[in-house]
Amino acid sequence: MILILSSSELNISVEHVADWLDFYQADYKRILGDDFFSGSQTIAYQLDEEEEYQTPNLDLKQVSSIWFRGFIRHRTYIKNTTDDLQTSNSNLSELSGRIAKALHKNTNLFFKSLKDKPQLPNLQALKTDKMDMLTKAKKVGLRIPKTLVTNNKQKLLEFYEACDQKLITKSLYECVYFFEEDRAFSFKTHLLSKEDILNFEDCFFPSLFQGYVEKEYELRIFYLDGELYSMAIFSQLDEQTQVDFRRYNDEKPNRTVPYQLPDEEAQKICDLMQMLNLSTGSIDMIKTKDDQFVFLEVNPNGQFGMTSFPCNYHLEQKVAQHLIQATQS
Amino acid sequence: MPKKVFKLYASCVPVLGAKRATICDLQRGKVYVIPQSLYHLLMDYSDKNYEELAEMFANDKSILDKYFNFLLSNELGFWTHEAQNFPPIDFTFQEPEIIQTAILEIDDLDTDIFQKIIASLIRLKCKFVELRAYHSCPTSKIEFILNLTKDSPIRNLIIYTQFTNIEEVSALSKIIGQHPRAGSTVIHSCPSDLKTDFLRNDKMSFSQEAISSSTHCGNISPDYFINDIRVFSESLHHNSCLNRKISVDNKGNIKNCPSLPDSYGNIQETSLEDALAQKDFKKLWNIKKDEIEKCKDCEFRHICSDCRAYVEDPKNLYSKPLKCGYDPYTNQWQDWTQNPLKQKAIEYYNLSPSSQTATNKT
Ligand code: SF4
Ligand code: SF4
Repeated sequence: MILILSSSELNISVEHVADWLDFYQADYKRILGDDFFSGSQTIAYQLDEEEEYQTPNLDLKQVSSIWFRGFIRHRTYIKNTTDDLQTSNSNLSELSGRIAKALHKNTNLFFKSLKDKPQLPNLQALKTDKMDMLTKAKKVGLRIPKTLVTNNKQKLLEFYEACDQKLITKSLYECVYFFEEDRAFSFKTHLLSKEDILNFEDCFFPSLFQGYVEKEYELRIFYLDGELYSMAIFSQLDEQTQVDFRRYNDEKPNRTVPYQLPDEEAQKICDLMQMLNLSTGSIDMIKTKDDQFVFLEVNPNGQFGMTSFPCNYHLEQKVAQHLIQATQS
Repeated sequence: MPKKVFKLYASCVPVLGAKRATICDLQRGKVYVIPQSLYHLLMDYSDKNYEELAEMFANDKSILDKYFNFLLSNELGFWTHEAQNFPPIDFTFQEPEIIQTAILEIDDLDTDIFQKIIASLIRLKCKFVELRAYHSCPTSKIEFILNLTKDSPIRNLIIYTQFTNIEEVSALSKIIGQHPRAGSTVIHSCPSDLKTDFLRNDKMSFSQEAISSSTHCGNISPDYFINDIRVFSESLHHNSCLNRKISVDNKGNIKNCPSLPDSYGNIQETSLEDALAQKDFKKLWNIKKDEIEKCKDCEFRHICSDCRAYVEDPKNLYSKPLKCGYDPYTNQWQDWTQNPLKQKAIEYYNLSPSSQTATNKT
């Protein structure tokens, strides 16, 4: 049985892969991180039992491969706890941080019980962070942007000059979206001006800064077990999307076309994924105007629908086939 | 460094017709009619850089510049010195659903039978359902069917029903407004003085024309061109109307489409799955535009849908759709009902001229 782990948020890729699993008449089960909290999954982790980790409604022995597409959104549980709590904001944020940690320990117990099964991507490798990725990318010979994490204005100003006065900042951790009733906002890549920096306090929240890479086009590469499916994104056509192509322009969507990564670069990506122990992921790169490939990041859980559809790559089908094969081997 | 050549974005696909050509922008859903000379420039000289082209076409340099201007300003292509890294799209067609669209004539079928039909459609992973009521249909029946599709893989239902009175229409409007799977709903046979502004529902539209039988289907018009990658790739490999389609007509006959003569069993005794498994059910599924007379020379052939139920020569499996007024050899659109060469077929199918103005089409 293939086990699909996903969060309760709508995930169109999961639907499509499930359609293909149905098509191949594969046996699969989908569970949500929320199931462990809503009561639809029971867990018992008893140290003196022979089988320490027990999930009565889910026979772990039957699980033959795992596909991970996110698991839990913290806000649901934190809300339950904090809604009618009268306390200061600082206590609240400390508390939600702690709950998130406990939640994390919990999921890890569950993941550990699955550790001997084929996983897409490897559950232990999910934790890799941006700095680690960049360091390893450099090791395998990929070019990376000039990168700095600092809390200090003076340092940042020096770095600004070193980057030819073109600097961006982005989230050190993952990008997320926040939805309000009438709008959504998210962490974005942001171009920094000197004025921005001069307005900073001398000491600020430690943040990630990178030299802005002038691009000819962006590359979004889906990696699946040694195979690369690349797409070029011509975002430069459009002022609106120059810094971060996720700033969509609906009228004239960016041109997104299949791309064949030169062998040498493809090999480096494969080396990197192996070093990161990732069996799948979405890689962001930039092709510069002077013909350099610059690696930006890997997202182990990146959306691949946006690569699959415009390039007609049928990635949903390929993921389904991969999960079925893993089951048979 | 290799020389810079002009490359169309892979989603902008040139299609050659008898007299002219198109570039189908499958990403932005636009189609550009272009002269054949531009088509050949793009296809036959794709390995030349601008200087070489300018030299070869020294006498027509202003046209050459006009062409590239047109291509660049519409963002259809770009100059690149790494053309080899931009492969074309592989238009393989693969979808997990066995049936994509179902057409159900709902007037005469008992409400209960829809339980059986919808259950089958769910097993077949059907994504789109068209409900056709040629007469007035109780709103409760439509609601019943809609409710059967809750939490199912059926993504969208479009509805055609006859106007009865304002109360029924308001009730229906309310129901489809609440139902996430209900899509565009057409109320046909509306009185000419009907005021519809009180129905604030953008899923609903009103038409004075009557849609009184399945003979209203099959119209071909640029309004129905669909310009996207799925439709394009399906059209390259399959029939662009009948592939992965199933229907149940008013008598309960299970057919590929209600307008076709062949029935593969009655829904009272046969399941959709069993009908589908019969040898000939899919016999029209693989008739491609590239094989159809006249259409194969048409520059719109891969964004145009097809019709096999009404064709110019009913005895010829590969005949052009009857209800298309386009002539790819003259590039003229004309009213097909007036075409003298089509009168025989119009008679054959018993299409009364007055019934042939409606424009419903899956
Ligand atoms: S277009 Fe023609 S073939 Fe297609 S459903 Fe309508 S009548 Fe049938
Ligand atoms: S000739 Fe054929 S392909 Fe062209 S518009 Fe008419 S039906 Fe469509």
